[in-house]
Amino acid sequence: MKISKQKTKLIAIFIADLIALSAGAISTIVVSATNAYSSIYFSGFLIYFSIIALFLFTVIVFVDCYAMFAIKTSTYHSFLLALCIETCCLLSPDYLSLFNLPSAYGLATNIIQYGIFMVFVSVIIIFFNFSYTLGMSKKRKLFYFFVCLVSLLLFVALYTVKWHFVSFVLILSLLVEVLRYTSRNPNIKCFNSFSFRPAQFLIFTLSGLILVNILYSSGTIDNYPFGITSFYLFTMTLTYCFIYFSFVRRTQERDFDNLKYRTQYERLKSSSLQAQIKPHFVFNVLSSIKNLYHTDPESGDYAISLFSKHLRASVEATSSDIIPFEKELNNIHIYIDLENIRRDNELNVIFNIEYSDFQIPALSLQPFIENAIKYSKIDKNEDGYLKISSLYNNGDVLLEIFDNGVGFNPDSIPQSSYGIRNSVERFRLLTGVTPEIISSVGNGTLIRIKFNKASLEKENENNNS
Amino acid sequence: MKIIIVDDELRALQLFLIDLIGLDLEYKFFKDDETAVMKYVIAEKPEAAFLDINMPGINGINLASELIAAKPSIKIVFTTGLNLSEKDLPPEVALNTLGFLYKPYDNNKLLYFLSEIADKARKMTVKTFGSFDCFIDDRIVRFSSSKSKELFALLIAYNGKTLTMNDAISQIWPDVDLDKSKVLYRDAVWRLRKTFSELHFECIDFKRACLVLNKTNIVCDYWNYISELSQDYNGEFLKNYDWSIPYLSFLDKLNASRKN
Repeated sequence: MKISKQKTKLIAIFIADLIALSAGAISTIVVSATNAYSSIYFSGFLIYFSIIALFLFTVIVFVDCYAMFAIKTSTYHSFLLALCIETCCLLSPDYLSLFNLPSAYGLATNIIQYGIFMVFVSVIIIFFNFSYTLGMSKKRKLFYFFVCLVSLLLFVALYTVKWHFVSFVLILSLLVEVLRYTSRNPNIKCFNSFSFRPAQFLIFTLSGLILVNILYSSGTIDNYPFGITSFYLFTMTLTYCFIYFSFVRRTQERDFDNLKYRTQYERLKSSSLQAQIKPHFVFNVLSSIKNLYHTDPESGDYAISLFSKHLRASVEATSSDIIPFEKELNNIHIYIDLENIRRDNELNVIFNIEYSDFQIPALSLQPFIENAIKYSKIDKNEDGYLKISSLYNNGDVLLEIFDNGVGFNPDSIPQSSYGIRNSVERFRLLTGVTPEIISSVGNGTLIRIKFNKASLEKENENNNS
Repeated sequence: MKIIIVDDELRALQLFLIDLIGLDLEYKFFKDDETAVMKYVIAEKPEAAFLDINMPGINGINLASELIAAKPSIKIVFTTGLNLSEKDLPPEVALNTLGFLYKPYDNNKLLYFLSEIADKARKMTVKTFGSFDCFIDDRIVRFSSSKSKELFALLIAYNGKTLTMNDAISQIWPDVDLDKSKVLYRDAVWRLRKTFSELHFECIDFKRACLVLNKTNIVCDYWNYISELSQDYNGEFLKNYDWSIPYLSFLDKLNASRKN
C-alpha cells in the first residue's frame, strides 16, 4: 500500500519535471511558428511581470543567504543553487535586453552562452554534492562529475557548428540516470529527504530555460520568446516557497516527534514501578512469607522487612531518579535475598565491589540481575554464580555483571536475549551509556558497562533538571 | 527516660510495644488527640516523641513544630509509611529530627534511635570462646555471608591492629588463587560494611586494601581475658576457623601460666 503510494508520487513528480522541461521549448516553437511574440513583449504587462518575478526571486536569494547563516544545517547549497539560477536568468537574452544591454548581448553571444551553460553545469554539480548523495559511492560521484565536465567541453567545442545541444542531451541523460539510481536505493539520504524532490523539480525547470536558450542560439528558432525567463523565474520562486513550507512543516513534525519521544521516555521512567513490582513476584514472595510464619516466625519477620524494603525501593525509584551506587547494590541484595527465600538452592552472588563512590539512576542495574537469575540457570549448577563487579581506573568506572550460566547467542532473539535488550535499552535511556552484551551458548553472559564518572554525573544532572 | 508515641493506628502501636518491653524507659501512647499530647508534653517534658505523619486529626509535622515550641530540646522521630526524607521537613523541625522510622518498623533502626535519644552508645558483645557470635542490644548479628563473618572474627582476633588484604587472604582463602581470592575478599568486605551500616553500628574503618577495627563500644571475651579482666576461657577459641590454631595455643599457654 505504502510502496504503491510512493510510486505514484514519484511518477507525478517526474511528469511535473517533464512539463517544466518541455513547456518553454514547446511554447517557444509554437510562438516562433505563429510569429506573434515580439509585439507582445514590449507591452507594459510583461515588463512589470518580468521585474516583479526578478524581484521576488532576488528576495528568495536573500532569504536563502540569511538562512545559510541562521540555520546552520547544510542550507548553503540551497543558497548557491538560488544564486546560480539568478545568474542564469540575468544572463538570458530576456533580461539582458530588458535592462537595455543589447550591445553586450550582440557582441559576445557565444561568451554569454558559455557562461550560462557553465553556471548550469555548476548547478548540476552542486545538486550532486548536496548532502542528498550521502551514501552514494565515491566512484559514482566521480563519474557524474566527469560527465559534467565532458558535456561542458563539448558545449564549447560544438558551439561554432551549432551542435552544442548534444551536451545538453548528455546532461539531461545524466540527470535521469541520477533520479533512476536515487529512487531505487533507500540507503542514499535523498531517498527520504523532504527537499530532494522539489530541488529536482527546480533543476528540471532550469533545464527547460536552458533548452530555450540552446534552441535559440543554435538557430532552431528565429525569434527569442521574450518574457519566458520571467515565467520560469516565477515558477522557481513558487518552488522555493514550497521548499520553505515543507521545511517548516518538517520542523514542526520533528518537534512533535521530540515531544512524543519525551513522553515515551517519561512513561518508561514511571513504568519502572510496574516493571519492578511484578505481580507474580509479589504473590510468590507473599506466599513464601506465609509459609515461613508457619515454620519460623522470626524468619518471617525478616522476610517481611526485606519485602517492605524492596517495595519501598521500587516506589522510590519513580520519584527520586539518582541514587548512590551503594544503595542500588543494597536494593539488588534485597532482591536476591527475597529470591533466596523461595529457593531450595541459594543463589551464589559475589559482590566484587572495589569502587562505589558514584551515583546512578535508581533500579538501572537491577533488571540485569533479574534477567540473569531468570535465564542463566545458575541455580541448577552447583558452581553457578553471579558476579557484580565495580572497578575504577583513571576517571572511568567499569561495571560488570557476569553469570557463568547457560549463555545465549546474541545474534538470535530468544526470550533471555529479549529481556537483556530491554534492560540495555532502559539503561541507555536513563544514562546515555550503552551496555555491551558478551555472551555465547555455554559460556555465560557478561554485561559490561563502562562510563566516565564525570560525564555520567553531568548526564544525571541534565536528566534531573 | 520518657518518650511519647503518637499514632492513630493501634495495630502499629502494638508491635512497637513489644519492642519496648524490657528497656529502661517510660513511654506513653496517644492517638491523634492534639490537646492531650500538648498537655502531657508541657507537664512531663519527655525527651523524645515518635510521631506518625498522616493521621486523620493532625499532621505529624505540624505537631512536631508545636512540640518543639513547647520543649525546644525534644527529639523527634517520624514513624511513617510515606517516602519522606529530611529535606521534606521545615528547617526548624529538621533540626530536632533524628530520622524516619518507616513502617513496618525495622527493629535495629528503632533501637538505634532509642540509643541516640538516651545519648548512650550501643554496645556490641562478641563471643569468641567456643564458636563465634556477635550481639548488639542482646540481638544476634546476622552476617550476610559466612566468609564475611569469618573476616570479622579475624578482625576481632587482630585486636585493633590493621588487617591488610594480603593477611586476610592468606588466612581465610589460603588455597584459592590470588585473583579469585581478591574478588572473594572484596565480596566479604562489601557484605561486612553492609551488615554494620544496616545495624547503624559503625565499628570498622574501611580503607583501601586494609581494615581497622574501632574497639570502643565492643566488649569481647577474648580481649577481656588477655587483659586479665576476666578468667572464663574454656579451652575453645573460634573453633570453626582454621587460622585460629596459633591463637588457641597462645591462649593455652597463657592459661597454663596463670594457673601456675
